[in-house]
Amino acid sequence: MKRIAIFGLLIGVVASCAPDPARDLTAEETDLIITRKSETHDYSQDMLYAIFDQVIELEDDTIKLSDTDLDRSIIDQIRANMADYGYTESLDSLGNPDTTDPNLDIVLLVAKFTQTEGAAAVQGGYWQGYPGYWNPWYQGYPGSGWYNPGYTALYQYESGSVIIDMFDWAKRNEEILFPIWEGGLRGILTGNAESGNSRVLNAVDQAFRQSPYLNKNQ
Amino acid sequence: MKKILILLSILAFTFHDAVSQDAGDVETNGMLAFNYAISTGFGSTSDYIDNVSFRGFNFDYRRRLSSNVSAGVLIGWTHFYQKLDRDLYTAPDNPNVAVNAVQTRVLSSIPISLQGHYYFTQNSGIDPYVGFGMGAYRIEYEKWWGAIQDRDDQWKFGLNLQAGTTVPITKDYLGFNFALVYHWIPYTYNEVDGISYLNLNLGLYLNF
Repeated sequence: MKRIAIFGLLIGVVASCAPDPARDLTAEETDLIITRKSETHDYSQDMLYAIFDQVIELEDDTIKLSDTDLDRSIIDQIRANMADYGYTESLDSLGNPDTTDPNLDIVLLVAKFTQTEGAAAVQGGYWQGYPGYWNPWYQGYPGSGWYNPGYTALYQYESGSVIIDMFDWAKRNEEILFPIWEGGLRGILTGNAESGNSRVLNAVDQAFRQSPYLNKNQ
Repeated sequence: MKKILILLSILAFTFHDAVSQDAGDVETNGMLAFNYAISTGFGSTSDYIDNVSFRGFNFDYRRRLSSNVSAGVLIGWTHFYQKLDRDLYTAPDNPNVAVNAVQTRVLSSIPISLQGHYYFTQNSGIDPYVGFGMGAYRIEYEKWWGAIQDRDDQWKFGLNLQAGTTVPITKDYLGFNFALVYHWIPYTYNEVDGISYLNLNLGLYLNF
């Protein structure tokens, strides 16, 4: 028995020499771009969209609007991708997002999570920042075990994450409104500042690239 | 790696002295081999990680029951590791979710197995053998999505088959051990449906 114990101990010592995957990653390599499509929505009918031109910032328990240079860059990058995919943006005569057009199909919102501790910030689960919408998906994330109960879930959007949500405008009055598409750029705002902007914008592109069903040009 | 080999050598000689005293130096019927193991997976193991593993070792202790049969214990560690380039995956439990990630995949196997060996010659010089083993295997599975870990640990009953040979360096005391050991463990998790891998053991043995 003692011999087995010695062997076991030695295996433990050597096994601890194995590489740690978490330390074997650059900040950029930790980025996850997670997209979710609707099972039921018919994307082929969508043509006209509006995007809210500020970013909804969730900072612990507070929700506020953010309008930094990077926020505007993210929104412009989304606009560029939507244009590439064949959508038309609904704008009023002043160039602001216009939700009064009766032909409006979809609305896009962008949120970012800053200075959150764990998943606490998303437990509020909704915001009132733009046309009274709330996003019940966020309520399900913390501790919901979406991916693997007992372990950190892929869908816990911690600090540094950006989320793009697409809603069906025709369903705006429903009590619970699920996004018809969501792009989660997890951890994208963390790490070194130099690569920050291009990293975020590349991630926006990737979210659209991996969602070809949104493309009207196919 | 050099440190590990030094550590193994020290342990080998310590162990040899201890066991020799226990046995009273009556006769040479025990053997302890320390093997470095290079490994490759098969089936769903290689589908999960197709890298060859250069991280592995094992201890193979045997006691002769007769001139050509021995019984013993195999304890080891094999560590498969692969960091994949950024790629697009479908979430395993939701076909509507796509995840673009740098995945790192890890699979460790720690067998604690009872072994039986048959020797084709009778302790005369080069001594080819075949062996069979069964026992408990500790399997540790990790899949990292970026820095997010999906982990599973299980103890499983597993089997192994061996073919190898000992090549003496000094008469009755020290030599090389070369063996191929095929392990099979009915472990299932995510995409892994049964683990099978082959160790190429390169080691030294001590008789006592």
